[in-house]
Amino acid sequence: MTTIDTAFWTSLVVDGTTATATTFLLALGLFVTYGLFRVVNMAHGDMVMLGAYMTSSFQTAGMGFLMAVCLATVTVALAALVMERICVGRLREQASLSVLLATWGFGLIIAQSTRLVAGSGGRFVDAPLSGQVEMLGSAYSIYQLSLVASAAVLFALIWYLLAHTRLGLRIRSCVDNRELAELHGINTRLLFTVTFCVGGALAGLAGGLLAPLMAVNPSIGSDFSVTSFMVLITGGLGKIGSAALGALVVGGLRSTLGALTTVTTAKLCTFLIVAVILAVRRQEMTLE
Amino acid sequence: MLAPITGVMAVHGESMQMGVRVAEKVLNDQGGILGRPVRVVVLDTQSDPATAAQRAGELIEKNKVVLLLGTGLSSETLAVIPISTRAHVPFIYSMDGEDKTCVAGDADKVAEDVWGAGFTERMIVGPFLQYLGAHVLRNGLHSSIYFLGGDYVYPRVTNQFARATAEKMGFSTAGEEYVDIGTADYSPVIRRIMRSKADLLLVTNPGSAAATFMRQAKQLGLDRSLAISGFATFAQEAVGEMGSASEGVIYANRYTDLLQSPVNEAFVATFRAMYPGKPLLPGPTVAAGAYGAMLVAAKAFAAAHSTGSEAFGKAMAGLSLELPQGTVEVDPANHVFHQHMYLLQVKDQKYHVLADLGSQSHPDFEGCSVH
Repeated sequence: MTTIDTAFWTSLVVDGTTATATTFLLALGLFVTYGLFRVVNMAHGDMVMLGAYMTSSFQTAGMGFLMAVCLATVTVALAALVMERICVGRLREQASLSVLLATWGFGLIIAQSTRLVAGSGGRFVDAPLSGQVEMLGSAYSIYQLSLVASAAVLFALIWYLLAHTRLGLRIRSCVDNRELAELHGINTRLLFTVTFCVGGALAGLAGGLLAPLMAVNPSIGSDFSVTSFMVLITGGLGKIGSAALGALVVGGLRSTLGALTTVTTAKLCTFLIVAVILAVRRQEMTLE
Repeated sequence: MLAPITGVMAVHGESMQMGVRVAEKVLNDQGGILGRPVRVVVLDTQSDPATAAQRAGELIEKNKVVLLLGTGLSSETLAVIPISTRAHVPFIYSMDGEDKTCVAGDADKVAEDVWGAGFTERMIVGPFLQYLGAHVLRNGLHSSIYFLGGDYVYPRVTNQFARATAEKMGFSTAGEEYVDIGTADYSPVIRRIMRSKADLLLVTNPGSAAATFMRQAKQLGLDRSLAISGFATFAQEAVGEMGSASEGVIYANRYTDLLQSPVNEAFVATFRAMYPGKPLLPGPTVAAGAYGAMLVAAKAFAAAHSTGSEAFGKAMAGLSLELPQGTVEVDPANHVFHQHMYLLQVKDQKYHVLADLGSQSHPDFEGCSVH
């Protein structure tokens, strides 16, 4: 009995951590665009989908998984650059609703173009690691554990970049007071372009890394957008730690509740938590 | 042909359309029906019942068709039945699913102009479990089963019947669970299945949800601790999304393009000649099912020496024909096609035949859908 209990409680912790990490990876690109620059990028989920699709395509063409993910990341970053140059960069000066509608439209273009080129049928991506490791009576996926490590590395990198580098200082000053940043000689337009592309790259990276754990088809993007916005609404904007906290609630807590009750109850509870937080923070989340 | 070319059943619609185009070519190469060429008109139902009913009306009124084939979803078929009945135009639905050959609103009376070419859960569950118990499961017919389904009507109805059948046969139930089809993280469910110590997992969750589940189940090594199978879950399009995660899965169905018979080999050759390089090779049921339904209808028209619905109905009763899937026979009482069921195993995303479970028939009007 004790062994079963140990195995059960260990699996709760490990699976909760894995779910937190994968949810964090999913939302990371949106943290950069929305969490830092308050750009409501409704195409985020479709950019993740594109990353997954491109990884599948490159892998089918004979490339190794890591090379395929890298190229998918670059491809989505380029798509983000196109999006930023065509409309997001200009519309950012106007009401947030314009950006919301424009990015939503871009999301539709990405999804429909993928459907047109590749068809409605699904694809798959094989993970580079397929085995399990036994810990305290339960088996854990080595690939999923490697995603926890990837999320931790990305968290540390972004935290360091924002807190301890010149680029981070420029981004923070641009977010806090753009006019003042420009007076100090910072090219805020260029900075925004770079940051938006980094957001796109992170979305593509998430798509590639998470693809082995999901069905890959042109319709999956909208769910990713919803989950990512839930993460940022729950954790709060502006700090990478807040995004991680949001992922802990939306991914980790949901996984744990799903194990203790049912998946449907866990989903309902998570939505309720997000709704309450949204009600409390409505001022912070209101579109200008 | 009422094909769901767009909407949620788009993949099936495309495959269905290819199947009837192959039948049209084969029949016309043989001189047509009753000395006249066959012309197939395909309209898109958009995977929507209201549109399916409207398109059925168009085919009857505008195109003056003598036969309706198709639809993807059960709800579409149920919407077309009253249109076909009112106009007395024969309608053969070619997809699998619950029996829908009864009169709308009366589950005990056969709809005279409606036939079901696909198989029903009544035809598959019993022989499938019997084979698994005898040849695959470690505890034979005393094995325990975990039932997992998407949280909507079809999986619940199918599992309810499967569970009752399994328990009558001596199997025990290790668990039953229904999951929202938008679920992204299946680890809590996979852990519950592992803890249940079940011998067999039956998944009834068609589409992408099953692909996501299977990919995560493979990562956690679920397939090492129990046998995995299911109903309507491991269809061609889902296996395409599952990739290597579908390897080794055992599945029951009425068709695979690897069936070895001259009739099937000829069908596959014609299909590939007409659609070279198409990613949708004949799926387990859809293309071959639509092709077979049209060939059965052609034989009935020829035997009736008429395109009238009454003569057609009489000719259909008891009609037998060798199709790519094996011999089929039209049940004169309930209008559901008797047909062979095969136990298949997925290897390299192809369906390899493990066993022919023999010809199966649907009992009376059990489980017949009514509005």
